[in-house]
Amino acid sequence: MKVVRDRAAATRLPSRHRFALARLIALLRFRPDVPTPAGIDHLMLTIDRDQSAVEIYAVSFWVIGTAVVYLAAILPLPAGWAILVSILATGLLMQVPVYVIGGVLVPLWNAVTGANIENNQKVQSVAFMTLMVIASSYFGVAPPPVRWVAWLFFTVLALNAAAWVILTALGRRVQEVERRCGL
Amino acid sequence: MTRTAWWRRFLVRGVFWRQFLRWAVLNIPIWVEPAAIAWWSLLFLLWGPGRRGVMRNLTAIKPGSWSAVNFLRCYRVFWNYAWTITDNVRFKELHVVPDWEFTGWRAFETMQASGGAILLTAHMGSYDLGAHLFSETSGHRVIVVRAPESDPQTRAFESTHQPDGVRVAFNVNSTDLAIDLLHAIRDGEIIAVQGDRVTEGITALPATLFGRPARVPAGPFALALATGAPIYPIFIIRGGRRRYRLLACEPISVRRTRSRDEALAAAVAVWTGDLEHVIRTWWYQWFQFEPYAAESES
Repeated sequence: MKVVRDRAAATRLPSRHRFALARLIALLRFRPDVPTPAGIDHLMLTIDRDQSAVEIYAVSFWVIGTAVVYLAAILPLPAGWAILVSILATGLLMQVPVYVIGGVLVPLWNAVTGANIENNQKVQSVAFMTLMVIASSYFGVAPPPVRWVAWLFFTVLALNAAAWVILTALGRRVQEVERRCGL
Repeated sequence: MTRTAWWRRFLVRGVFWRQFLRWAVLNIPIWVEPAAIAWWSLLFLLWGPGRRGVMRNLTAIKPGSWSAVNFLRCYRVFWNYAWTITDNVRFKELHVVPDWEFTGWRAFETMQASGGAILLTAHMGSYDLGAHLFSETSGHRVIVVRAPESDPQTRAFESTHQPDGVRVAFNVNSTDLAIDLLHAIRDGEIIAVQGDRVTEGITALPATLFGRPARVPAGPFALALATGAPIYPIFIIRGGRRRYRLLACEPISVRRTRSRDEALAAAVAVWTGDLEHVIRTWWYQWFQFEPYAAESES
């Protein structure tokens, strides 16, 4: 795993972000002269795609928020109660696909094929996003405001795809900022 | 396996939760993780003894605080603890290291340069991540001293999931361990000990923490007195998602005087002063799930 020492600017490196939209924003916000925070003598920054707290919390909030709205929409309760119940239940319901895939499907696959897959992060992420796309397609034709949430979901996906295209075109600039941080 | 043994897996210190955490690290999408941790931290608030222990300690750290507010603070402690043990497992399984910030670098550097030292820390941040950092940045070998897990299955699980490059010594036989550690310090190795909790069978020294009588392990102070090696108070503090701070305080020397007890008491007072300062600032990082002061004493 790559590590950058004593260069606070590296916190904004695109390579510390997972999604193309976040990587593009990081690239646009990159400044080479970020000072080390006060009270810190030295820094050791890991270069990993999942290192950005802001990105991961934002995506988590967005995905969970979307799921809360979808669940509230199908609950036979008044809107306020539906949202409250949905907030509490979504935290658990969101984990159900994880247990099904990681606890049943992958072990079955391992048993049938003789494989020994343990790290299921990638397959879980793809499956999860697929479920969200299916749910958003369903709620995309629901009455507002649920429809707007579904449309927002697809808008973010479209923006992410566009960001990927732009980032691919800006490949040299990405390399340049990484070089400035000693990578 | 008996019925009792089967159920023991699901106790708070049972092996099930270690296995489940490892499984979760390998399965939960990284952007679902905050929600999953928030949910499980909430569920673990049902763990009465742990919750009450944290809340009792909070009443000492924050005198005059309200129980309702301390309940919310307790959630913050559980939330931070969940992130810390998750980062620890992620490091062991996937070799993902967090960002590190260093404060008190001069003291840390002195420790690295010294031949043999005692690193005194607390139940904060990730002990294993910190030990790994020392072994990466230092030419010295680090020996981590800790209490063995009370559950045999958990103990077996932990022994097969130890991080590389760090030697763990369990304080089961005080005499043998003391001799081993004495030799290790003289051979230039670093001994890492948690100095904020005393487990059963461990020799303790009296101390005062947040105005209440407490006990700290005698081992590190006795070792320092015997070897002349300084004690380095070092704390690992979680600063945010995958971000930790290593805070090194000024070394403590246990000076030989006519009275051994006085020498030890003076060193303990400096240590508890550092400990109090750190816990007061980062109370939500003190993973002390049992009351540090006995009911009658407090």
